[in-house]
Amino acid sequence: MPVIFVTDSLIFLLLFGLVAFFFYARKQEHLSAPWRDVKKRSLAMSSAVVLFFFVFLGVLDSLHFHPKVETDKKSETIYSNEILSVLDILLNDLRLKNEKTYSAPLASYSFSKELIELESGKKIRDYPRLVYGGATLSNPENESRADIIKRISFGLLYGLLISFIVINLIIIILSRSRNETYTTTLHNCLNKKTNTHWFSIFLTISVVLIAIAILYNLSKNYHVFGTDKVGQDVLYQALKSIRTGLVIGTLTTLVMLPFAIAMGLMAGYFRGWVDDVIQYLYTTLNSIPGVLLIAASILLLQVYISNHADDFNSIEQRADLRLLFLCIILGITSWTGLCRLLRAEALKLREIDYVQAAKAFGVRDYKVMFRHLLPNVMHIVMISIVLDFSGLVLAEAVLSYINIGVDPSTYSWGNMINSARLEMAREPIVWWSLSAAFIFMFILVLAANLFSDAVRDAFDPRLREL
Amino acid sequence: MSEKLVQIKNLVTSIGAGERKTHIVNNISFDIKRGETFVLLGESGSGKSITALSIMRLLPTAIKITSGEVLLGNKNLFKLPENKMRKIRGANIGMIFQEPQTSLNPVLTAGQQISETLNQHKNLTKNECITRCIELLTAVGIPEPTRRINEYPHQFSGGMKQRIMIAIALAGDPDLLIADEPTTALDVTIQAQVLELLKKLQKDTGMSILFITHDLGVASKMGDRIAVMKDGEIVESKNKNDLFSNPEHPYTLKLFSAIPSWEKRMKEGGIDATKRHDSALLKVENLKVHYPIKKGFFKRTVGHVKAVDGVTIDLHAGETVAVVGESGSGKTTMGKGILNLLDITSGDIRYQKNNLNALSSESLRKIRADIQIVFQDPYSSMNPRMMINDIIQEGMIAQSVGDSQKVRDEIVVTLLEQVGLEAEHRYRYPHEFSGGQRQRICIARALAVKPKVIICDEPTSALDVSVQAQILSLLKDLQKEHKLGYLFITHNISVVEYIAHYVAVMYQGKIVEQGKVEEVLKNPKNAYTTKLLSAVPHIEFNK
Repeated sequence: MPVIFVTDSLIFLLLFGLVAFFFYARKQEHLSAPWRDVKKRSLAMSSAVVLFFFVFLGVLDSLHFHPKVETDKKSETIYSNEILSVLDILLNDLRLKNEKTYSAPLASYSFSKELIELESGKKIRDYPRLVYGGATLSNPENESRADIIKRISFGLLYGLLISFIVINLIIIILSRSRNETYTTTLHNCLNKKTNTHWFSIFLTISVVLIAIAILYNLSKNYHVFGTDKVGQDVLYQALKSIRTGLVIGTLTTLVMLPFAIAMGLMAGYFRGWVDDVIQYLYTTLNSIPGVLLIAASILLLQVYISNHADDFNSIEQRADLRLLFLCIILGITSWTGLCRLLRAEALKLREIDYVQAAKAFGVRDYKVMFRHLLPNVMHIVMISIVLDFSGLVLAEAVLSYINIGVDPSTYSWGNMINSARLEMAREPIVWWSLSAAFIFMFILVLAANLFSDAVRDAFDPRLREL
Repeated sequence: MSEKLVQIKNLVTSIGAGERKTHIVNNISFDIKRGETFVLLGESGSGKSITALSIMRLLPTAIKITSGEVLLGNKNLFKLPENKMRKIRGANIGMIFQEPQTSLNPVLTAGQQISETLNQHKNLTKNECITRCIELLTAVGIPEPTRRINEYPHQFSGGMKQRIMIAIALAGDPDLLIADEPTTALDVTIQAQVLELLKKLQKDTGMSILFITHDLGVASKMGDRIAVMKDGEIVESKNKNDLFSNPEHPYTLKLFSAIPSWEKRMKEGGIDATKRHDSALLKVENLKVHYPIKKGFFKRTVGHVKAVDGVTIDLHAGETVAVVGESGSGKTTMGKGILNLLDITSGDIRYQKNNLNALSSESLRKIRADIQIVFQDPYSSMNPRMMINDIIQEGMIAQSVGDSQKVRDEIVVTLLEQVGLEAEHRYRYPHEFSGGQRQRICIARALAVKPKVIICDEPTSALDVSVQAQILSLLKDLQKEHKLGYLFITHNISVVEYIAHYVAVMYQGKIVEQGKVEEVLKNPKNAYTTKLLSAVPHIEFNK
């Protein structure tokens, strides 16, 4: 039985909007020309592929449902109270293989010593074997290294095979659509003679697929990133956190965009008292410390939830509401920057001759703003969306770290870091939760930054002329 | 005198690489003798400035010198290492640019900027340096140099700034001064002073000048020898007198015939007699636009900038009233004030029977169809994100001209043909057109709502002479056909000679003189008008 959270629906709305924009931009020369330029850049295309995999995982994680419960009676189906996503099902292996407590990456033994009762009845304090990690090995101390190497090399092989198939499929589709032979398309792609930088796309696809294959192969018998305090697989947590990161990064922008655009354009175009009111509004908002505002509103929400406990059936729903609320409040505190930029741009544009000409024709104000101002500030909007994205993903981590971020039951990189913080003083150190969160965040933010750099360059008319 | 100071041999510069490589300067050769002024004359994009920058080796990174050599004495400048070249710049070759507003550093005083060059090339003590700066400022005609040496660029006017630029260029005692359109950004009266100054300095120091301009009048005033450039090539290079009395190349001839003037107008049929009918179409009475100057913590109004201060003008159907004035005289503000694009302080603007500034915004919106405007800069007057079809139809939709899309499309096609463009052009974007074509589109856009009055705000001053001639004759033809009234704002006297029936001379927000064009231009009564007219560079040469 499917369940749709509020954030899920917003994610799909956003995806739909993206697709619609894609088709709209294809028809508009001034929008599609810069994107063609983006497609030529190797680094941008690599980042796009990485981002695509992240988004793909995030979308899979947004398809929620109540799973069926196995019952004896076949006539009726009973749904469990639990809410799972498609990603959970794909990661069943990782999700259900829980250990007792901490274990290091790729370990076969637990991280801490425990009292073990031997068959002889004697009790010793030693590192116990893990339930799942290295379970197939009879003597992990000698065998585990060989087993890991074997699994990595097989993973590499599978990865190569899969990426070979995928790339071939893409080339076949490409050659069909261009009416070329397979070999010419292949030749063009490999020699970087295509308009889109397919070479770097293929390279990144192979790297990502190989990484996935290796991770998959290893995780059948090990916890690749170890387990956390309650024995849950860290890789699973990191993968589940992707959705949270993406939601914060994108929905926040979606929330603030209408405010920023409407207010910025109105302030710059009308000037006078409209400008004054809007300026006072954002200077006031700006002068309140953002963290304070966020803390206050999260507290407000918590009180509301506890007073209306009946309205929220599940923990997941509550967590989702808190996530959405965080997006909204982050959006409210972050629209001022873009608004200021747009106001300045609108101030400049309103004096430009074509706006004056439109006024001389008696074109109505809202039409002037919509037809002349909006399209000419769109590049700024686009750039700030992409640039803000990485900042917001990081903001989530910081906020969760100081406990005013997402719900503690939500998987997020911030929560992972926050819980890892408590173990930093331990000797030997528990480093894997932190590292896993760091690696995933790093890849996502780096890809987003590189991609946005390319977008900004492509949309900058001063750079485009040369 | 006849010693060759600089020789440019087979210079080729190009942009881009591979198939997209294009030559900007294509195989040009000339030499400049000691003490003479050599003029490079050409329209925009002909490669004049690139030639000058090539000599200085200061080309933008995208443009490369492909072949050729520049000899200064017997030194080949293209073979010198950069550190030697740096000594040549300033010491042997000085340069002044078009825009004095941006070529001075706003946070350094005039003295600091001049001594920068002095320190670079001369070994002077601090006191000597100051003395020399004062000498230079005196030489370029800055009053009170001892005081003004410590002032910042914003405290100087445009003409003064250009004088300081010249002082900086002269600081290293150069043998050659490259002047790249040094007076284009200046008003005619200031232009006359700066040109006079350059001539005097040349006489005093014996330097050579490479003078770059697009203005034939300026070229004839300054040049000893003139080279006409077109598309990166020199098409004709002669002594000044030979060139003007006996131009040979078809392009030179075309250039000469494009200059608007009395003579040209008389040849084309003289002033078509316009009798003023009983009632004026547009009547501006005592128009004032004042901007308050606000100061202090409470933003109290301490005074007013009187941009337009009591202007009275009549415009009748089918005639052109030219408003002439230098920059800052309030011409454009007046035009926008008439259109109600900015708030006016007081005065009456009567169009037919309506008082425009007393109308409600809704009735004003309807009348807007009758009064249209064509702007100066054809590059900024169209939304780059819209197709020509949509640009022209915008006003039609707002004013409900044409009932259906189909009718409007047809009107667009007729309009485009009327202004000399093709019907298929309507599905293109503005950036695909040249400046002249864009100005045609702007005129078509204004005509689309069937106006009776068009305010032309310097419609040709951003265009080359040959394109200007086309636009002016297009405007004339349209006027005859539609009985249009033009309020023609310009700073160019020769355009006034060519197109206007009546002329109003504006100075510091006031109209100092107005009347029939032949009366005002031939027998100016006001002192300012006389000064303005005498400053206009006319082509002068000895047969």
